Amino acid sequence: MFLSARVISKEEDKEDIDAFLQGDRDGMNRLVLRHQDRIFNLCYRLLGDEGDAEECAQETFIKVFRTIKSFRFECSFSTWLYTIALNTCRNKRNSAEHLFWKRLLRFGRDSGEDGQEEFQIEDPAPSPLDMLTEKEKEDLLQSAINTLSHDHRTVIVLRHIEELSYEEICEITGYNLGTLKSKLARARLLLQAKLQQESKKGGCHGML
Amino acid sequence: MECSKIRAILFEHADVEIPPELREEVSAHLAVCKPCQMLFEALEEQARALGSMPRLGAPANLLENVRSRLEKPSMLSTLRHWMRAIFAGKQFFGLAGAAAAAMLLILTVHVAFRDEGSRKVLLSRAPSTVEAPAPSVGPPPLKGARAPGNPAQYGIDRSASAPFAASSQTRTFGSRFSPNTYEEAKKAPTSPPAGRKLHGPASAARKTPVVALVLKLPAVSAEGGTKCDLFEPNGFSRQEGFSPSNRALSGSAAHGEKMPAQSSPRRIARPDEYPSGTSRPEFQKVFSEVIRLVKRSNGRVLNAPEAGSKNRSGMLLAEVPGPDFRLFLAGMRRLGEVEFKEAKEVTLASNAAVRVSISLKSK
Repeated sequence: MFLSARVISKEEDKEDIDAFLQGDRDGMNRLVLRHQDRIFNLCYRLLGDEGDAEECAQETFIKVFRTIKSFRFECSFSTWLYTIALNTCRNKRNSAEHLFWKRLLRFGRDSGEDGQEEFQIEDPAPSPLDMLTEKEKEDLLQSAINTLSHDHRTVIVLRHIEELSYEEICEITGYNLGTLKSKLARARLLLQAKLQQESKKGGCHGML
Repeated sequence: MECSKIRAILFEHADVEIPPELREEVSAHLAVCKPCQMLFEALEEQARALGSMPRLGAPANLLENVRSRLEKPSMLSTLRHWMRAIFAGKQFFGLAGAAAAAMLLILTVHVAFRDEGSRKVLLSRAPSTVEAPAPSVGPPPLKGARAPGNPAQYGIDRSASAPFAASSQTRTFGSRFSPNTYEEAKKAPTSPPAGRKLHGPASAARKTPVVALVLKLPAVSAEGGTKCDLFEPNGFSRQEGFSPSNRALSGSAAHGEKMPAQSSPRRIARPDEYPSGTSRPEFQKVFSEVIRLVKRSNGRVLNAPEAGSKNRSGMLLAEVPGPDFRLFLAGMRRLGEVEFKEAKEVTLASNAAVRVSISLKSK
């Protein structure tokens, strides 16, 4: 079912792109409406801010439609869209404005931001996520994701939130399979360490 | 299988991306290994939590914003459009050429004026530069100083003139250039005023025939008369201390002083060469007759003996037009016996003016 839905989506994408290139505005509308939620969600999970996510999503679509003439269908349209969205988000995070606000918000905090603590496999304590509500769980996970590097965050989001296959992630990011596996394993360990660290500190949520 | 190998592929097992034969092996290991099982459960829990994160929907105005931003031309495309519009027209090259020419003209004018300005500044900042003497307009000769041999500088300064007895026959005439001798008259240019330009270097002087005449007056006594060819230059004659003998003869005049008038008419004992006969009223009358004759024959007097000064003797230098020269000569013959110095008459080949030097001699 899932695979067939994607195949249908690919066919529709191609038709809409052809229609857009022939001057049909509805083709563009259909493309945007079909992919905007996923792109916005991806941007939000990568950036952690709705405003930045909306800006990046707009920028992504604008880049796509300005360069759609050069799209040769060597990959699926959604893959190309994801690639452009990832690059846009990376540029956004590396921009001077974003770095400034990030440093301002970090001011005064003392924590192992880079996840230096290793994941304690033998820790018998129950997962902190079990004790949280859905909203708290989401905020905790998002803040833990935000502490990761861009590469680790990308593979985590693409694999576990967007639920893409290894092959699709390799196609989007350009990694080979071994690199992707090692990056994904490392990202999951770091994420788990972040979650445990938050539960030990008590966090800002006050319920751990 | 050892735990390290299991953990290496545990993430793939959790992600259901593991080959089926390995999946069986990992499941068997997890059933017996508690730590590995705990890790696997933690990974599954994490994956479940990540997967259960809510999917946010895009803002409602995303499509509208994208469309409006796409329809608004970007800066790059605007710039490209303008460049295309500028370069497309053929008049662009004409305009560019005109602009380049204008810039070149402005630059040239600017550089030219700047160079002239700097040149002016350079000239104005050199006050110590000694001005080179102009070739024809020299400083006036100092009183009593020996003048150099430039005949153009033989300016006549009457106030400074100190007539010597030995050179009293030297005549000072009222022009700036005053050839006093026959040789000088030969060398002199045709047109006596110094300011006039010569059209060829000394060519006019060569072409002008110079005739030296001696007018023998029948009624004049034997000791009176003038000679034309032994005059010293005017400037030299007026130099004090020009000749030591003259200085000794003329008295003890200091440098720059005016010589006493009574000491000037000293003569060397050759009365026929240095006569004082021009002081006579007959000689004055004859000279005025000659001047009148020159003017009647359309000539002009270049160098005339002064009628007012009684103690001067000399010759008259005049320029007569060629066609009127015969008329002039006939008039002269009426006044007395005319003797050519070079013992022959000048053949007049052209209409050029003839320069005549006339001196008087008594029989």
